[in-house]
Amino acid sequence: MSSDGVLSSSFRDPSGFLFYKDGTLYRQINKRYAADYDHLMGSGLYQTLVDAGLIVPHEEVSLDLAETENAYKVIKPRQIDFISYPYEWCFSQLKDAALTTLAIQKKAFQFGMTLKDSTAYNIQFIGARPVLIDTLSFEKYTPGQPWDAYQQFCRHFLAPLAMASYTDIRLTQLSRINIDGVPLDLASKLLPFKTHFKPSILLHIHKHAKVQINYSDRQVDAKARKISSFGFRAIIDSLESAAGKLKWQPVGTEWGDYYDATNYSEDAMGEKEKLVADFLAPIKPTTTWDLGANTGLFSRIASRAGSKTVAFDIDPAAVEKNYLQAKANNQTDILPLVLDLTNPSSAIGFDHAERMSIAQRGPVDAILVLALIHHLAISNNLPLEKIARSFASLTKNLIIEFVPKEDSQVKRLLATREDIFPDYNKEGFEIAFSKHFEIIRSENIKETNRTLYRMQKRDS
Amino acid sequence: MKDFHNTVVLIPILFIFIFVFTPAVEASQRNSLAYLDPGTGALIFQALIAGIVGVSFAVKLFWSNIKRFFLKLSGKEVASQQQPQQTTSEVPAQKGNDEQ
Repeated sequence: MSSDGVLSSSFRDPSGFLFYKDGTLYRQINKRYAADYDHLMGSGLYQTLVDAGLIVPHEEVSLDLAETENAYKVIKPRQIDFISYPYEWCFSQLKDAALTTLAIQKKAFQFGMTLKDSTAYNIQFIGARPVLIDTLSFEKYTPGQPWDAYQQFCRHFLAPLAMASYTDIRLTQLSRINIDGVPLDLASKLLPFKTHFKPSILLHIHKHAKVQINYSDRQVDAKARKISSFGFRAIIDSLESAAGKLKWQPVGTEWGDYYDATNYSEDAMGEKEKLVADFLAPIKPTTTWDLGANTGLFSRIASRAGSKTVAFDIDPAAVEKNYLQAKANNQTDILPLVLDLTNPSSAIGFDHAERMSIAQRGPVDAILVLALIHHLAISNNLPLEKIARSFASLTKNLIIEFVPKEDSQVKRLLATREDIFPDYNKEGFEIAFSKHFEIIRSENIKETNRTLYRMQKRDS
Repeated sequence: MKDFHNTVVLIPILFIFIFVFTPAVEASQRNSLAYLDPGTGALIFQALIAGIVGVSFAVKLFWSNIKRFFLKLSGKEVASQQQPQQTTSEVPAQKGNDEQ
């Protein structure tokens, strides 16, 4: 992730690029962007955005660090703990990222600037707080100009939000195969007919898609079409109220109320929490991934112990709950994300190098795998040894819970299928994991037949 | 109030604008010069809709001005109000004239 050189995702904008030098992330600002950069810094816009927590702060460093000759400045942005992508965000994360983009655009406008792009990849989360990471997104506003980033905003934010809200939350995954946002004609097809009676969706998606198709191969002078600054602000306001109104309420969630319906009594849950805290204590992780985190009960134990924690879950409803809780508590040390471990985010974009896979965003100091192993091994037929090998590629310290066949959750998984897992038992689990890890400690969890393990990766 | 101006004001204007005027504007654009990328539709589209959303925005600002006036009369704080207030003073007089 941090090998020296220019970041492979940083090539579109000629204003500058990101690069690593001696493991530190810098951004080179090219001479052609000098006037815009000076206006951003000199007008007070940058400081206003930093004070409002809307942009990632940076410091200017020596020009000697520049990678190429056309450098105007080199800046060192505050590094983001964990880079996440829109297809990993829950509904409210995507919505907050959209509203943050518009809030920044409105602030920029007050200082005579505008956002020249509005890709969702320019927003990152510091815990539950979205921030803009692209310092080079601003350009001076020319009276009469339309918003260049309008279509991109609709593709990256409004379309997936509307589809999640009116059609199905799973459609946010379309961002994964459309790296520059969901095509508006596709969104228009997938949205139910009733959205034609929602003025903002009718306008910004259905009609927008139509006009876009009409003009896709026509020769017209787009520059001649001017809009007043009032019209410009009205469009931003309209997008803001469109995105702000969209809601998603999880229905019939599979694991959303998992903690209310587990095999754990209150006592046993308390015991498990204490055990996890005990197991984490000697590791003292600074980074932790909680796989199958549900709403983040155990992720919070890791973050309370001082670790930056990413809480992954497959269920968008659980991630939504987790995010809203983190947001309410203003947490900066926990990042809830949607992830299907049986098909985790891969490296995508040109040359497979624009967006990182999950593995590329590791390794981490510790991984929590609680009440998850049966889903991987039984629901997904994954051999235990394969699971162990995968975890060993991501961390040195593993805290993992084994859930045996006698457990009612596993019984439920096996109720409708043949038991083809003769080695799925405590002994088989220990043998499989011992190939990659050394078992440091194991404890039975009170009132259950489950076991909690702390393991350390073997030196290979 | 929001629902009121969305449904009562915006919808009729929107339909008239899009279904009556859009073809005329499209036709007038057909013979001009520069080469277009697919984003051009979006640029032109903004010019088309600026008037529609401009009306809605103007109504919103108008109501928030009235609201603010009465809040001032009653001596209440307006700090907690939503964003339109802070920009009200910047509203130019030419709000009906978004398309140039």
